[in-house]
Amino acid sequence: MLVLGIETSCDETGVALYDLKAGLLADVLHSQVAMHAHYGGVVPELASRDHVRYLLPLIHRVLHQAGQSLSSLNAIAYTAGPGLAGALLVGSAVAESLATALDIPALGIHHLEGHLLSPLLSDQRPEFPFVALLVSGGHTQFMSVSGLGQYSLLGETVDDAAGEAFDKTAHLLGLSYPGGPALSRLAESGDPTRFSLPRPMMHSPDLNMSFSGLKTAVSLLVQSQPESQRPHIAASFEQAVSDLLCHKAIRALSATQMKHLVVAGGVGANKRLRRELCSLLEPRGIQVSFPPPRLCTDNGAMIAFAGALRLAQGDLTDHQRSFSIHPRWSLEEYARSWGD
Amino acid sequence: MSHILALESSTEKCSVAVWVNGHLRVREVSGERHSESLLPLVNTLMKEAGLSLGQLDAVAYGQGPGSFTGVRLACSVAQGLAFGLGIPTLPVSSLMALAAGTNARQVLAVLDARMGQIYLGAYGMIENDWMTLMAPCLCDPEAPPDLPATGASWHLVGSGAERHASVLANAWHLTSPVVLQGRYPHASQVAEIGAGLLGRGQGLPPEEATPVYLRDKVALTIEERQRK
Repeated sequence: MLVLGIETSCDETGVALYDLKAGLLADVLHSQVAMHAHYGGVVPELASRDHVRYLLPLIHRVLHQAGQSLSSLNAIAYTAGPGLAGALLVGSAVAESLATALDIPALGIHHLEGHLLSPLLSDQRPEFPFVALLVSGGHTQFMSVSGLGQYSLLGETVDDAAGEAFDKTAHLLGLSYPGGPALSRLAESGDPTRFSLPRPMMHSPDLNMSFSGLKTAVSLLVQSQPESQRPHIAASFEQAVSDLLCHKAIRALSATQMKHLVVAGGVGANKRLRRELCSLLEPRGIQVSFPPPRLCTDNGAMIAFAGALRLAQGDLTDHQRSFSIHPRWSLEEYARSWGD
Repeated sequence: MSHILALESSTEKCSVAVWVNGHLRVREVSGERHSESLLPLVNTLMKEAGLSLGQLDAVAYGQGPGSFTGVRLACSVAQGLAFGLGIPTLPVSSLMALAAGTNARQVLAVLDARMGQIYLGAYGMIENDWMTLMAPCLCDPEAPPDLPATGASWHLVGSGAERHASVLANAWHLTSPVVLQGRYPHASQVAEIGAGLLGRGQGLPPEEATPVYLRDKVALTIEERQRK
């Protein structure tokens, strides 16, 4: 069972080929980060324009790399939402049309399902059930995952996503977009205990989180401290985010009685977060899994993989060849659309 | 025998056509959600025509200018179908398709480009073929480029012509120009013009199929914002 995966929900064009027996055969990515950096953030129209320019050449490339032809495909999986409407439209239009021409099924996959299943693409494949921490520029949430399509939201950010807080804080520190990784590099030489930043909602009894207040606190520090203190501010900020996420992770695991945490999304590549989650959770008998770092950001592999699992499960409703994209889409709604 | 599927969704009217040796069959819808209707329209049309996708020789598409999302949709669907079928794509200017939908001989095709601007192209029927007399451009209706000096009279057509008729007439010093009402680029003309392209061997591999936006400045860079 060979599945082509297409991801175009934001500013990365990702294409991959996944085979149910042989695993991931090819995985390519065109990142638009450098283009959007000139604008200080993602320009949706430019993102869509790049997707339509690069998608077919990338499909050619994965087929070539894997030594496969179009006729060997069994299905095409694509990100149907959530994301930027115009960007989603390119991937879904190409995927559905290509599948129509090849007379094979097309599967509209939820972007977050892709992310939360991506740790299953690693060599040490976690078993269901687990708690997933999805942490990226667009999302910060804890989900309980008891099987494919069996997701329930445990808690989420009430304002900014953690990745968004990273980017905004980086901007305050004078780092250029996208600032998250740059902030982490700056933080490496800083003392995370130098400044005491707030940890909003850390002790709220639920699993919700808040990150926007942190940015305000950083803004005050940046104004009152000399530039030489910036590495310490960055480190203190990173520590606060990490503390918040770790604290809520422990709470999520104890609330669900689960023994396994799976971390996915771009912020999941953050070294401090990885280190702290492991050092806090492993002594409690909790296993922590991360996707391979290159699969933390948006990619086609996770979409091909989610599509392959759906295909294997026989989740093929009649394909009517009409496609709708869902710029806003909850995982629960998505799961219901599959009849999960 | 040649069979061409044509797609046009650059305006609020979305249409598909299939061209079988000069015979046309069409389907169309109005509204906003072209993405949900385009492929089902194709399937319905092919069924009605008693054709399978495998019989197609090329996929023509209205490449714009027009709604950014609309031209990308037609282009993406043309790419996906043509790539899967192993056939070429035929990019056709939506402005030329708009002109070709009239029975005039010399046409100024003008689409509303929003933000007070227009997409404009000039076309002429020469020896039974539509030719581009002035390449499509984005401009202010008050200051359009000079018209090609052909001597013949012009017909104006399209949403931009309807909206800016008197301003355009003034700018070009046209006295009582004919403005054709209620016309949109249509897949029928995309198919006919596409058939000409295919006949001349001008099909493009699907990965080279691109939309034409004309408006390339869609956001300000950080530097540009700071200079303001």
